[in-house]
Amino acid sequence: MRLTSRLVALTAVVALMGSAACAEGFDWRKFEGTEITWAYDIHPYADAVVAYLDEFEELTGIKVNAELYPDDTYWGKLNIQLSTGSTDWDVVGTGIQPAWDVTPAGQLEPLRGLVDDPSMTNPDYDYADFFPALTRAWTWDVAEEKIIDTPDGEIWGIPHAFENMQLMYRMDILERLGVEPPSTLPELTAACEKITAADPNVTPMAVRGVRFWSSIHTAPISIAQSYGVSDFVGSGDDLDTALDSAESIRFHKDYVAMIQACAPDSWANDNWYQVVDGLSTGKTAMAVDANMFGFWNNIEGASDASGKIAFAPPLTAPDNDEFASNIWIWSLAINAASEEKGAAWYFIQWATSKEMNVRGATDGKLVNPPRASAWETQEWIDYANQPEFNNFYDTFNSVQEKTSLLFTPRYGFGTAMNAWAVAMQDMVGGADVEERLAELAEEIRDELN
Amino acid sequence: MQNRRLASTMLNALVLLVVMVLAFPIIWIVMNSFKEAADINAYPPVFLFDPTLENYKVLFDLADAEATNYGTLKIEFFKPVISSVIISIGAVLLSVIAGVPAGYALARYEFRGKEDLAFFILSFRFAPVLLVIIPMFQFFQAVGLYDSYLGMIWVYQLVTLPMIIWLSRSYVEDIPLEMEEAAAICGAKRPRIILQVVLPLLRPGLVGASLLVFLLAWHNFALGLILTAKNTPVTVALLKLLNPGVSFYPVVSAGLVVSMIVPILLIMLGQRHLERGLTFGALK
Repeated sequence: MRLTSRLVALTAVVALMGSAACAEGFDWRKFEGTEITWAYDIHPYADAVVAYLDEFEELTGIKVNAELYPDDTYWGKLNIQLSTGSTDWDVVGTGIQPAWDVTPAGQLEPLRGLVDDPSMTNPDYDYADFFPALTRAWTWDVAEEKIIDTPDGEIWGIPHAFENMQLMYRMDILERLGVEPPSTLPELTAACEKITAADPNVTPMAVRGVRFWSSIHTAPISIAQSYGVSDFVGSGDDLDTALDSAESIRFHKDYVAMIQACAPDSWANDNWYQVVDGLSTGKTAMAVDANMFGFWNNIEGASDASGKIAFAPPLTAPDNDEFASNIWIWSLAINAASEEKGAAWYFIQWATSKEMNVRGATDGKLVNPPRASAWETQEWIDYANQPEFNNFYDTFNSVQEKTSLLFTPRYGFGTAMNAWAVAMQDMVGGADVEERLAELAEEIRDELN
Repeated sequence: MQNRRLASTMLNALVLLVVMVLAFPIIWIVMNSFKEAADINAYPPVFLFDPTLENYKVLFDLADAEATNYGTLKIEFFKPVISSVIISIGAVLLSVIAGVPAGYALARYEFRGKEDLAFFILSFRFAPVLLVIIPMFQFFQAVGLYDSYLGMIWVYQLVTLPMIIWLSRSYVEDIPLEMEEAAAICGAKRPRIILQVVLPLLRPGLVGASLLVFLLAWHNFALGLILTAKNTPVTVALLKLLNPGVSFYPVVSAGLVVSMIVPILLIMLGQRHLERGLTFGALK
């Protein structure tokens, strides 16, 4: 373990013990003797918690069983656990988009009552310290099969760590081939053509292409925003899709041209595994995806790409300097069927505390930490500004200002966005952009009605 | 003569080509399991490298996790291998105990709806597991079979039992009825005929069939994924090696090699019977 990490860990232990002792009698041992199961994706974010689980058990007397599964598998299993009302899992890892589809059915426990209850929440917890874009995105009310987007609504999950979408590029490859990092979508297409001409062995660009909404939530939704495109317009009964608008047609023509010029033949089957693989091995020169993939691969000794990946904001439309970045927030929530909700909440507030945020981040795992205070903590500033991370810290700060959840909150999110991903594949495969977008819009409108 | 030699040489060359194509992925995985991440990612691919046992150490949690950069998530690969052995062998044994009498009855007795019943049993193999997995999950939770070996052995009957019943039916039909009649003339009752005449004759075929269904059980993924938590089979444990924060290909390769050891050992031990199992009952 690095000396810095050891010092941070020591400070955090003292801080946790201190806060436990000094928090005006906050009783960490209220649920002593209980046992809970925490389910999560196999991920460095899980690793950041597992590393210190014994401390939580010592502090509270609560035994935590960690049940971890890899990405796609985890979502399948989570759906079954929640939809069948199983009491097995108490704390679950989830994201906002899947939560839109399960909260109207009462499958997640509302948390505002717990957050606001001084007998259940450590006074040092400071919920307001999370980036407002993240907590706002986790706040809504539910009615029958509807999400009512309101800042005063219920809280359904607590941000654990999050990703914002950025352009990442291999500095060594672009420099060798004499290519400047692009800032607009047509510039990206031109850069790809230049890379292919200079070295056909290098894939210019990696981006997800699978027939699933996760392909949309990285590059397309972020870049589309700069073209003036949203997934939906209006609200309530007037909600309508905007995917067949003139702006959307323009965006899709540019995006399809970019994929055709930049992406590998395997694009339609590529998920984050392939995107990360391409960057870390140097098979790929650029990628638009979650920024922490670049961060993790830059860690000294983590991969051949260590120290070689730089960061830039997502691409924009050619006539608009304003970029936008979508977010994915890995969060902790409570299964509504859990029989140990009190102990589950204790675990969540410990895992998302200020101290755990900084510890996880300076261990190189909990990146990006969701608390604003973490980004002002000297240990994290020093760590994130180490030379191997290049411009990670500064780029995060400039992108974060324009980061928000770019999807429209609604029940049925997955169906419409999966359809968009399928349409994107068809257009890249040669379907007429205008006609295919009209079909997509019709499909979504049918579902809305 | 010369034509025959040429044909034989060409045939051998073709067999060699097929063997190379079939064996290459396995050889490649074995090589990767001894490589470091840099060698696995190398382009063009490297065939000569300094072998390391580090991936196997990580797999069995013998290495200093930080040194391998696999994080602090514990990988306990030994237990899933044992779980798979228990579940797969248990499932095969139960299927043989229940399936052979059923197969015998279908072969030797005439009763109304016999063929419909036989087809119904076989239809378990047609149903996609994902269709029944959610009710199965709820049922297992309700009766306390979730995450238990007993529950897994039971549910694996969906995979193993139809094959055993149909194969043993076919094997029994292959045994001349006259042999059983001769034993009956000598005064043997039905149970004795089955135990002392039919079963010894069925043995080679049954061993082969058991090996075949063992492989089906060993490779099953969906049932173990949904119906277990701690007692996961090796197929689920393999998937758990995928970790986006690390270069996981070397350790996944080591996991694949370990997961292949038990089936390969069994196939080597029972190769003779496996061939017999595949061809038993094929000729009347």
